[in-house]
Amino acid sequence: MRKTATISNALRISFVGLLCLAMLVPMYLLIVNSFKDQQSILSAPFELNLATATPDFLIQAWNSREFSVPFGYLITCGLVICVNIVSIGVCAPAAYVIARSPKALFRAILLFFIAGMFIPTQVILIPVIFVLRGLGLMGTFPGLVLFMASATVPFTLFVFTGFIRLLPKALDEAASMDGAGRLYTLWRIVFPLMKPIVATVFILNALGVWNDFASPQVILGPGSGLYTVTTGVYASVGQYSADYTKVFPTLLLAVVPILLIFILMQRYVMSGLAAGATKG
Amino acid sequence: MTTETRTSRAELSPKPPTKTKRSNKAKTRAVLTEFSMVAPAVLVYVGLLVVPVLFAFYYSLTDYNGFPSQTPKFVGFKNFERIFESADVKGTMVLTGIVAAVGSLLVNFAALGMALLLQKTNRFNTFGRVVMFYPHVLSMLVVGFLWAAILGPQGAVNTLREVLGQGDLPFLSDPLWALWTMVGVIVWAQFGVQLVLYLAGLQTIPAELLEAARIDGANKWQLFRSVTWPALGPTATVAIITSGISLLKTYDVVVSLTGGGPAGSTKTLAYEILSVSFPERRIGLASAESVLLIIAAAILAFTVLALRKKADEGAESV
Amino acid sequence: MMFATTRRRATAVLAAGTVPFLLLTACSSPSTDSGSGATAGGEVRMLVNLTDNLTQDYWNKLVKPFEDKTGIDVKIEGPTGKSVAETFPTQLAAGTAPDVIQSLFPDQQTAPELVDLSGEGWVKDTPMADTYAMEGKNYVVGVGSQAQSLVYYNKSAFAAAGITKTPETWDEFNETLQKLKTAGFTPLQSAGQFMTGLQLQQLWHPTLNIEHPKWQSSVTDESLTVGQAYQPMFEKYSKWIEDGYIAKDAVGLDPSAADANFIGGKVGMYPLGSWFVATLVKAGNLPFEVGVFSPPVDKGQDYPGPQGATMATPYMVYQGSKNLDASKQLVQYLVTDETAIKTQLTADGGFRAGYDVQTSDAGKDVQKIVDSAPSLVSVGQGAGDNQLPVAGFNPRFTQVAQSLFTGASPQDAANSIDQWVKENR
Repeated sequence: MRKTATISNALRISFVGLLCLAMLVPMYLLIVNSFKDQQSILSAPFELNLATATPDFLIQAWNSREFSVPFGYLITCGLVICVNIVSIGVCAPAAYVIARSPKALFRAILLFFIAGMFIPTQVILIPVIFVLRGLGLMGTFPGLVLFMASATVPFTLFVFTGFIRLLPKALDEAASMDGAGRLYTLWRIVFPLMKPIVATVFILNALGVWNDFASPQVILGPGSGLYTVTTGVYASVGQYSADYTKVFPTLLLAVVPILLIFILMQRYVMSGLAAGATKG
Repeated sequence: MTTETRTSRAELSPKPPTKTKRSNKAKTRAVLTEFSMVAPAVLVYVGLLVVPVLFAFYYSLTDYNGFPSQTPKFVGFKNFERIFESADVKGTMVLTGIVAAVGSLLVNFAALGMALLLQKTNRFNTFGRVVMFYPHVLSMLVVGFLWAAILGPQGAVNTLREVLGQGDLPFLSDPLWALWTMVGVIVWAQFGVQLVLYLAGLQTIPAELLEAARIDGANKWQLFRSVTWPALGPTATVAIITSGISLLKTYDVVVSLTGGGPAGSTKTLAYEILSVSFPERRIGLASAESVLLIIAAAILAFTVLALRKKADEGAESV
Repeated sequence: MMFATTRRRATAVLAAGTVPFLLLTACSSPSTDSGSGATAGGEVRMLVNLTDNLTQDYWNKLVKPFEDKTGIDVKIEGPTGKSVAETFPTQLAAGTAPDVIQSLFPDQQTAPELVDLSGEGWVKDTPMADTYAMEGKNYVVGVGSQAQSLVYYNKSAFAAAGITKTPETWDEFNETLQKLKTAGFTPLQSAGQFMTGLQLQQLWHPTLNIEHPKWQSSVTDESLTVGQAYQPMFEKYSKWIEDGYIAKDAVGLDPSAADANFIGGKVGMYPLGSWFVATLVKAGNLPFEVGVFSPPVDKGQDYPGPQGATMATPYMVYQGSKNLDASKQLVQYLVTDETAIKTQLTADGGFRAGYDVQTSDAGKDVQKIVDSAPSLVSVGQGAGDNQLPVAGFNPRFTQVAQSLFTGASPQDAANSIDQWVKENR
């Protein structure tokens, strides 16, 4: 009995190990080929030869004119932060009211928001152009932030409401007895208790914003002079996808920071995702 | 005594009205505060999500090239008629359906399988989970470019096969191969998310329940069939909806991996909308295509939710 | 302990995430200032295609003398979509259209959004101005012309295969393909993306234009369909794929990889436009000699046939431009200044009467082909008043051409393009 258990466990471990390898091969190729010239990439893509490895191509990619990597990071980080500020900023008060009010109207509003979770955001980008054009925000950073934030609102509001409902009502009732206003109660008493769910929402929104390609592509456009990591990668790799000395280093530069952040924070990212999903 | 009562009454009687007046005022103010707290969220949501959806419905009934100098011309359901008459767009819709259905099936199958294998929390499994999940933090655009460099006619895999004296595999140059390559890449990149969901779902199954079934002599399959799977129901619902809807709007990976080709064999509906109809200045047609996608997403979501509800009711009655 | 360190690290990472944001807000303000500050001559936004030959650096250098002379700031913008053709309509809809657009031609829909330049004195003398005029109005001006129907070939490969003379009829062409294959070369190099449809059209221009002059107009007045025009070529092409003269997986190949294959010496023939001359020059000394010939024609037709030609580096000015005057000045500079013309002709293999810029052997050969062609004819969508009645012809034609690789019959391909024209005209 124990023997079969060990065997099945060994089988399991070797199977999972093999799969892990399969998952990591593209990453391996990405890394080793970022340090080779076109000829050695084409002739021996899997080879790792430290003697001939050169950082030249990475440096070239870093200094690329079409896509300044640090600038791309700056814009993308700015987006992540601004979208979260807007999204959490508008959702926390709304969720607080909806969670605490017995009014049927607010329950209806919640349903109205939940319906928004099913809207495939990239396919409404064309009408979004007309809305943003009307507001004079087309091709601007605030326009992009607003649209991206609106796409995160349904989910954020939904999980916030669920979370606040679980918080004891006595807390804010005590505060209002002391004469505190609702906004004060929210930001000073309720919001600090929401830390775990805010972290979850932040992480999920950050991943979504970081990886979005269609929205910045359409909304920022060429005129704004702004680009994110994804649209920058597209600009520098899309036209030259046969020049592997450009493709691999650029892709590597685009993924390294986000991978590092992920590895350092993997516990939070993955548990946050799980929490968000089970609450949702 | 009577005078006293009278005076007290006289004293009292004007008081209640003022009290209700004041409380009315307070109530109005409270309601106003409530509305002002909900308003920003509603404004952002309605302004940039609901209004665009309504716009999409409106434009889908018009002929319009999108230029500010032109005005949309109302044409009724012409755009929809065109979609259903065009073999090309119909093909695109079928393809999108296949990607969404097969993709989400495979994603969920792989995720559930891995979740069962990596269920226990130990170092090795934690490492495994991280490795399975990491592609999700990369954008699909980058993933597509990376795989194109690996699987293209002169990519890493075909170079290796040449060295070994074998012929090229047409990963991206044969319509069927390209489609399944794309689905494969999507599964590779996306199943980690669903894996995390299933792992979380597995943790909610009470250990006593499994133990009891084991004592009853259930084998592994029976255990899964009668305890684990029913308990994972809600998780599976969420996982299937989210993966299905996210695959319905597949766009980035088409752009970077196949460019919709060869011969339009990997053109999804989202790609058709953003990279074909829109640049061809057919706002009406593009909007009609968007409307169909929105409806498909809604139907998918509500069907799965309804099935789930029915299953729950069935479970309760048993 | 362990937990504490991870936490600290996490905070550090978060902090690192915030710092760039602060920097962003800090450095974004001066940049907007300089945008509105440098208003000596204002700013002109120009949308251009970025390619292997025409890089961002190239464009900046090209407009530098103009900027120095006029004080007008020229902002070069690359497309956010696949090409200018995909990005420009998006920008028109978004209300963010650039002042000057390079690489596109006007059509019925875009013409009202563009400036009619026919009133400007300098327009008349620019190349192909009349060919591209719509009802006498010049919405586009160009630097030169590009030959669009050329077959580049590897002279060493031809010698090795025992071919002594370039083919002038389709039968001879087939024979050449066969000999090249026997000798172990890729007989005809193709590629994916836009290239598949482009090459097929380029090979067919001379024959097609002998049989149906101004075939685009014939499609518009419904006396001909695109399918009828192209089916004979589809048949040839499909046969070549079947016989292994064209690699089946080339349809997944990147166009620059196809360039590299030809330059690498593995390829016998490579149909492409005159801009490939610039690529050859850039590649430096090759171990073999490159020759060029005009595509074959049917037996009994005069060889060489009409040469497909397009306006090289065309420019259009957006009607809604806030800086119309400066935009016109820029375009005038680009198409009339001698240095600018030379730079542009050299960079993208263009030709213009009076400018002898193509000094490479291949370049001179192309010049000879252009000189000996009985006429220059417009290609693809068409030009000026001789246009197809549909927008987006080239991407769709490419999709149809690719279907020949993936098992569609020539008849299917012809039906499919006709169906599309019918649905969209």
